[in-house]
Amino acid sequence: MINLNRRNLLAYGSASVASNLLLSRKLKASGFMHPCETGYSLLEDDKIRNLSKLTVDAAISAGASYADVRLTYTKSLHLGSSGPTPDRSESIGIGVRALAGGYWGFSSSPVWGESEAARLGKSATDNARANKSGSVPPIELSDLPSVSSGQWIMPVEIDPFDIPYEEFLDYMFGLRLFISRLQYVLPPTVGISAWFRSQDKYFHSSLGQYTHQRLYNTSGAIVFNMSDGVGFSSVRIDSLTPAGKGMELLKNREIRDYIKVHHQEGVLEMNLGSLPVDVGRYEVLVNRSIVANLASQSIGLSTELDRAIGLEANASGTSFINLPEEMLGTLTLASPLINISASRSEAGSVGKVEWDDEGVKPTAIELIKEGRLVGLQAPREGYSWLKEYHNRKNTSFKPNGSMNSASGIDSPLVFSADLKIEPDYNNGKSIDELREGIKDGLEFKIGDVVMDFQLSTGLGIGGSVFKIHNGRRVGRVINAGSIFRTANLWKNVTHIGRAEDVMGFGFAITKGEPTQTCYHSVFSPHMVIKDMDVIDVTRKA
Amino acid sequence: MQDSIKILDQKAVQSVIDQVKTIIDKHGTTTVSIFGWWSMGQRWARNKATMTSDQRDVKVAIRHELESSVTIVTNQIDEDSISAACSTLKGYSEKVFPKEAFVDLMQEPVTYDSKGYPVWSESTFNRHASRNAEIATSASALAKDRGLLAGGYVENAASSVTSYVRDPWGREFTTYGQITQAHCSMTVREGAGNGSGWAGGSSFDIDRLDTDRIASLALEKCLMSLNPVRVEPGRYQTILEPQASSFFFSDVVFWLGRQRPELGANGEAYLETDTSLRRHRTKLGLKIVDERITIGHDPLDPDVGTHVDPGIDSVSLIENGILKNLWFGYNDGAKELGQKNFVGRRSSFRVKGSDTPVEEMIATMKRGLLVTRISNPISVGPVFTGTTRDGLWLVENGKITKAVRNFRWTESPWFVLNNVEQLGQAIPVFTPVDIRRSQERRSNASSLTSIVSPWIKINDFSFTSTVDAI
Repeated sequence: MINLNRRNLLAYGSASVASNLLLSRKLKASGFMHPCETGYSLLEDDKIRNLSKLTVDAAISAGASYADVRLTYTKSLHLGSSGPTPDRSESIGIGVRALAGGYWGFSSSPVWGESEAARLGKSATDNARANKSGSVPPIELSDLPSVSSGQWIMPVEIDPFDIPYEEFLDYMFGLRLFISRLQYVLPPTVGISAWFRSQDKYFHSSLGQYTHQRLYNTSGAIVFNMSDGVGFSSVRIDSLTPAGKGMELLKNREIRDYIKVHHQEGVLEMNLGSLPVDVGRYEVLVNRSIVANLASQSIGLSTELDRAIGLEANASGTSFINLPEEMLGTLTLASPLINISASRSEAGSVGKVEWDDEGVKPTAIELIKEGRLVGLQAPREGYSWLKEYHNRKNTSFKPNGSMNSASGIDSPLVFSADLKIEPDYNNGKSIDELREGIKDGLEFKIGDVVMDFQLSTGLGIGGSVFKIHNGRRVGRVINAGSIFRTANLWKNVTHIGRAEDVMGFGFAITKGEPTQTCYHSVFSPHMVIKDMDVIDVTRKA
Repeated sequence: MQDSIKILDQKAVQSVIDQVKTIIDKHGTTTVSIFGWWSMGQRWARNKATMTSDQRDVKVAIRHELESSVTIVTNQIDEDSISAACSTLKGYSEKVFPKEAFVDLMQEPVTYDSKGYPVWSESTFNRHASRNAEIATSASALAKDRGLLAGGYVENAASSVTSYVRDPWGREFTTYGQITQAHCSMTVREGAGNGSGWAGGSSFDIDRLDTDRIASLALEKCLMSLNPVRVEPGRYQTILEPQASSFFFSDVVFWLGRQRPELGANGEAYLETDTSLRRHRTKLGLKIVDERITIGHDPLDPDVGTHVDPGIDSVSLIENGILKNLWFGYNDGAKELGQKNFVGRRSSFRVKGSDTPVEEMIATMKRGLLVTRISNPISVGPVFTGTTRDGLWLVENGKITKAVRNFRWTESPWFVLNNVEQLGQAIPVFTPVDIRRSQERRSNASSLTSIVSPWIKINDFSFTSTVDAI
């Protein structure tokens, strides 16, 4: 193992210089100049704009009534926890989507070039036309409220790809040292890793819209175990899930204080006795990270309109909102305390964009209002899907800007926007106060959630669960989990935490055929839920 | 760069390797993995085509390792891009690595022939989008005629997989292989969500996929699954269709990897630890699953041969329930085991079936369940939990009597494979390529999986709760 010290670390400087060359040389090789090198606005880069226009024009010339193209340049860097073992990745993609004869076609490749762009545009239209028209109703796309072009760079404090490699190592080494010196921490168990991703995404449509965005997605993991020789606890810092941030996610003033808070909790937990699961119904204090996960899967995914109407039936699954036209506005699926909205404008969220993958400027919409389903997440094509409903209600359809794709290689799909669960602004309590209100119950601090393919029932798997008696933790419960129906779960929410404790957590969403993965954030407070069915997740029938 | 081609030929990948060889330091081990893929996909839902796509991409992963490692991945293969990638890698590795000999490598130079693996189908490679669109149209018409909704996916794909390894003594080997893959799955649902049926299959040859049969089977299952009733959770004798059983076989096969015994506590599932000796003990030669189970991998088997790669020689993992071989890599196993070659981990395998038809398995069942497939399995400690999906039926006195609401199950793959009542016919199951998972990181060809799995009847399979999803 290499001996990590500051002198060694400072010797790694040239690595970052070389890594920057990868970018500029590659793009030069493709005939493009990158703004990192030139300092010019990408919107003024006629070559990229012309290439994207050429692609769309080729699709239209081949007979498409509408076409759009995405060009992506994606960088990622993964730093492992055991030492300086970086994985660095860069890729280019271009993918065009064409609407012809009532069908969609798509073609993509890793090559940016004029003849390839023309080939892709024609190919996408040809693919759509491979389907026989017959009596299929045409696809109608909603109008865009505004056809805006522009450039948007996700605001991050520290661009991770501008940082010299030795600075990463220096910082992570220092953080490791800091954690290792905390009381009771077992130094060999300290694990720190980081994953950085940036993506330049260019969009051009046959409506004449041209946009460029630079998006960031940073996540990390900090874990460590503690023991005083008798007790034991395992600590995972929960604030490092995917976020629309740069290196500041890991390198900020608060991170060490936050680690100290978790460490102090670990010290308290260390000496709590372990208890078996006493199967039954409990009042449960659910930590905000688990609430966010529950909302991501049971509300975020279920309100994706393509999923609700069955377009994902053969892939990731359907939704319990299986009759959206009847359920919209009438289905009560949560306590009146619950209000959840979807948007892509929250600072620091991993889903934040200025335009979605079909050029829509995202708008915030209410999904759950006082417990009732009032909104769905729809693309422009949703106009066709919900036309009857809006005609009947005399309302207008608006896409919410939820189209996304992992890269230019992938065709865009509806992916849940970022969610925000409203805290209790008036009477919200801190987590300690919420705990104090529970006489006999449980606290789920860390855990995972897995749903069925219709998102109607789920299983919560507790990673760190405590028994609460008279408002205090009295023991750790091993292998505890909970089975639930989505509607019952949300209807049984009795208390929502205060606004000051709301925190954002990032989650991956995988769907499609072939599968692709995009990310969104959920901002959530803590909650208390009554009558949760608690089980031993490892126990067989 | 030239216009994209469907997959890279051997000349193109060799020029990348040659370039890397001239740039990367000969200290340590250099690995170049090149994965080029093309996919023609057709999606449909609600009895209408929703997307017809043509996708292609390349991934070049250049890895250099001594005591530590650096990996650079790019999807650009022109000279300047590869040169820049190598420079980046050198920039990292020259500073990070200690200049020490790294001896934990293969003992003898090895060469691997690019055999004529029967995993290439011109028909798959040349299939036009319109033919896949016809499949969507006919499957949709079939469902529409019965007042049902069909969704599905058919894909014909091709990949070229290249591996190059050079050890610190300059010994090297290169393999290049091409493979085609075809996948088809269909779901038919009742409009109000009161029933759902699924069927699917995979093959290297799209002509081997009977898409009409898949469509009619999905339809039949949907009709059979209408208006399911609730049945109490508990332990049931259970027939797992091949799609469902393949998960349990896959998990066991995944863990049949050998680590160096002296590595200590990271021993995998097949090993026990002798605490007094502080050493692992292997279960090689011992019976680990039911004696009717035989699992192996043969690259010449057209149903499971996936690609040409080092360590792909035919291997028998479990014979009549006895553990015969374990996966081991050249870094970990060759030296300690004193074996010249190694057995690289493969996710593709064949489970030997029997002639017992599923009808007989049902006829001999007093009371139990028949499972089409499972969904979202996740590990919870020593067991897995997931749900049944798209077709679950109660069997009573030798006959299917009613459709049943789906269950959550909680079970151990080792328990399943040790409680086999009957083994049925083995068929290739649906194993779509998870390309995206392989793109971000350096793993690639492992995502190309082909599995032949049998119907199995299990005693006391554990269903822990009902789920609402249909």
